[in-house]
Amino acid sequence: MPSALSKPHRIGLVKPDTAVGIGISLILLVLVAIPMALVVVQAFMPGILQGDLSFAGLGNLSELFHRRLWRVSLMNSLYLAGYTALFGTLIGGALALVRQKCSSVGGTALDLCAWTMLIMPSFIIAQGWILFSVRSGIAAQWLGATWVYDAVFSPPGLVAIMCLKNYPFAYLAITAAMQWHVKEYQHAARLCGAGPLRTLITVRAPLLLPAILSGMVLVFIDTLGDFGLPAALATTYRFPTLPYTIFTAINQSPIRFDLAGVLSVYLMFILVAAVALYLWLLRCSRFDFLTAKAESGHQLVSKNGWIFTAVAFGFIGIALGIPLGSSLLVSLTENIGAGFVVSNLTLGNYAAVLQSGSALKEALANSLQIALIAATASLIVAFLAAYLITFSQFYLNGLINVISTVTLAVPGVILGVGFIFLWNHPWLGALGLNLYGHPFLLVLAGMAGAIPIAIRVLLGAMGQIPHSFMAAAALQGAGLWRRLLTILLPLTLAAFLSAGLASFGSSVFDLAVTSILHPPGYAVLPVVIDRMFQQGLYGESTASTLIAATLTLCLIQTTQVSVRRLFKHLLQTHQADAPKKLASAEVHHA
Amino acid sequence: MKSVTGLFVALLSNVAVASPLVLYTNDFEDIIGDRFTADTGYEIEVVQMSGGNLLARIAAESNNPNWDVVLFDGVGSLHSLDQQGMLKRGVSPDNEQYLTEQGRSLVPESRAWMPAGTTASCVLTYRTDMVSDQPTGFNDLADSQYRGMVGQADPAVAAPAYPCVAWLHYDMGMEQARELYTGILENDLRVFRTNGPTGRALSSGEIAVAMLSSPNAYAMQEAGEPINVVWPEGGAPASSRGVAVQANTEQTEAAEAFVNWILSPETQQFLTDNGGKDGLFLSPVEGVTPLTYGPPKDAVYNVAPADWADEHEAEIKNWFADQAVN
Repeated sequence: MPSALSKPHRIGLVKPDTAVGIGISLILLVLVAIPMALVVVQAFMPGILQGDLSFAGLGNLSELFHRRLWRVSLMNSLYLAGYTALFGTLIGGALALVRQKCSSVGGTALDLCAWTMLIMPSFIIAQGWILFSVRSGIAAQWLGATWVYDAVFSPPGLVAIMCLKNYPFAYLAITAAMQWHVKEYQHAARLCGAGPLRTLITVRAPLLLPAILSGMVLVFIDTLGDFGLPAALATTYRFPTLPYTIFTAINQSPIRFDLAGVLSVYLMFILVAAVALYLWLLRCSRFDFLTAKAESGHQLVSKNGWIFTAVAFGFIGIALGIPLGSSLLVSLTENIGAGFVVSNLTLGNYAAVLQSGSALKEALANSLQIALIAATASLIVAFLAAYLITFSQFYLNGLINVISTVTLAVPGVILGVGFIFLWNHPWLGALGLNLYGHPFLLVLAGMAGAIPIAIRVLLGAMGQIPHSFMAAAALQGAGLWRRLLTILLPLTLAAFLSAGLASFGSSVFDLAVTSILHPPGYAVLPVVIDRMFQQGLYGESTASTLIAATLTLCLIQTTQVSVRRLFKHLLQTHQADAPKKLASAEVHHA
Repeated sequence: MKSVTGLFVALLSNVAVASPLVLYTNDFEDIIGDRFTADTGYEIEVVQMSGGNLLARIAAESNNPNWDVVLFDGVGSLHSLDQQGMLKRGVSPDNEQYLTEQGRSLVPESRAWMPAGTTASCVLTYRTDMVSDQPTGFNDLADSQYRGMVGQADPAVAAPAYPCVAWLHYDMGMEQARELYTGILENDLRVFRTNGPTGRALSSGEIAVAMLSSPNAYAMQEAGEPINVVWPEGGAPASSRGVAVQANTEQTEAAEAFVNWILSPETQQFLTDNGGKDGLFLSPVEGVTPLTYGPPKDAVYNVAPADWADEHEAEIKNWFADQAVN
């Protein structure tokens, strides 16, 4: 079969793949590459948007070595992202295993926790931790744990918080990959005398390497590009990172888009290096281990399942309970300074934000609408892009992979500025395509942010599908769309669902892009909540956040349950049979 | 699929047509729109952003501005926009006649903007329950008794924080001001993003002393927080808010009507009475009664000249940012 894979044009894959590839490349160019390129080019050709093509030289690049703030920001970013990728992936992987061993209630709770962390804006999580950890906070005042302040507001403390925020990327990628497994491999290891731990480390984990690496890369780049959490924590503990410094470069007078472009270049360089390493690691070995014996993974409650269930709930208590619990208490409090006493408790914050004609209601409707459209469109694009990267030899695959990965880490505010440069240009205006100031631009920006996330989630699952499955179907005469819909989609349905919901969740609360692109008079959720924060209305902002997050989570969970029920038959029979049928086809072909 | 298509259509039909006058502002966003329309008959779309975001948006739109008028706290930034040719010069509203002497002193030669109010960008604010020896001047903040207990908004991020640092540099000279700040920074100055978090840190006891903008400081005191406000001898560093018209606006008449409206004593009183803590400002026009719990009537406001503040902005902000990292 490898020969069929390495020469796909022999079995007629070239034309449809090329057509799809060109379409996907164009979409990514318009949504991501051109806006980003405009920002970066500003660093070297400051007058380009005015038609001045004169080159200003590379002098700006050396400013990194002259500005102490920039050097410190770079080192802080690498420290935070590096350690968070390592420990966040370990946590995500461990929880994926715990999920298989604990009770179904524990497993569902872990899933819910991961989704909640994923859609929760990082600045809200940070605010919760701040409310818990500051010297006048819950830990010190209620529990007498004054050490919490020094523990949390330190570089290792920030790594811990980032791990608890970003582990879902690894958790979801690994969980999705664990949907299918071949027990024979483990049985063989056990028959050879390997213990459970050795089997896990030497058999199971290596087979899951694509998902683990996908998860680790996702955690790394999301941490590297995260603005909300370091910025929110900076209100208490100054720890500038590259995105934060880029943000300040374009949020002060005089505005320095050129310097923001320079820092973006450095940021992208780190990301490209990370992606290159990731791709190199993947190419070192083959991971298409599924065979006709593959079984759908399900929860295997062991006799000590209660221990794993306890671990799951203990983790949830820390990761979700502390920050959200703190936010919940603030939302139910009239005045933070008055302490958490009965007379200080109120539902007034909820009543205020839910009253008739409130900005929250309008913003919620607008943001959910935008996120739904952006997620649906993103999912289609991402599915095709992940297919191209995994199964085709389209000549722009490397470009698609790099663009989609780099975008994950580029701060939304930079993307927003790039969007303004592109979509507000008089040249496009002359063509009637001036979308700046139009809500539809938020959909495009949401797509630009969501597509890379969806691609990463899908790549982990697709990495496990042997190329021979698709090649065999092609040999039987199945066209591209039929192969995608009847083989690839069913086999990756869990990841497909995860990718769509992750795209939806991430779009709802995208503060950076929406704050710079939202049209005048068009309320969007993150902007409304952030404004309340800026005004110090913690009670109302936390109430708004909890209402919005609960509603979004309910939508996600309802969709997840509905899809799983709707495709229950398919998942149990079609998916289980698919590898066997395809393997059978493979045998016939051989 | 049909529902998604429907949403697309619904979204596309929900076009925000920017036919009314578009105002970019970082203050008074909740109360300006309806009142302006009621008083003048012109429709207005009010877009509120933080100071930094607002400037970023204006810069990003430089090719094709989507705004007609701007109301911004920080005339140094308006001077910068004027130098880039982005503001209409020679604006002469009728209500200019009501300007006070202090207000007239803030009108630039180019007449590219009109003053709309002045606030102290940093007054010494301390917690009475945590500080025994009250600070009397900025030099005191380098004293070891306040180590790690002093906070300030980041001049690179917070719009009113730069005028504070700018005045100190203008007044003391660059070298002496840097010496002062080096001492305060070495005393573990806590730099917060904006005045809001700085005030909340003071409120929660996270810090004991803050260099806080006067609206935040007096609003906190009025709210019953255990704090005291010290107006520095010789006056407080101050920030002036300005209103300006976009150079190439197609709505010149409505835009100039807005500038005129802002300068009317009735509007100034309306903004004072209904702006919440934003209403705690020194009006540039005659006949406005300030809020009772605001700064003393004889308070002195020191605003660094807009051209000087603009010229030294990058240098001062970069120096501060590099020194403030650990």
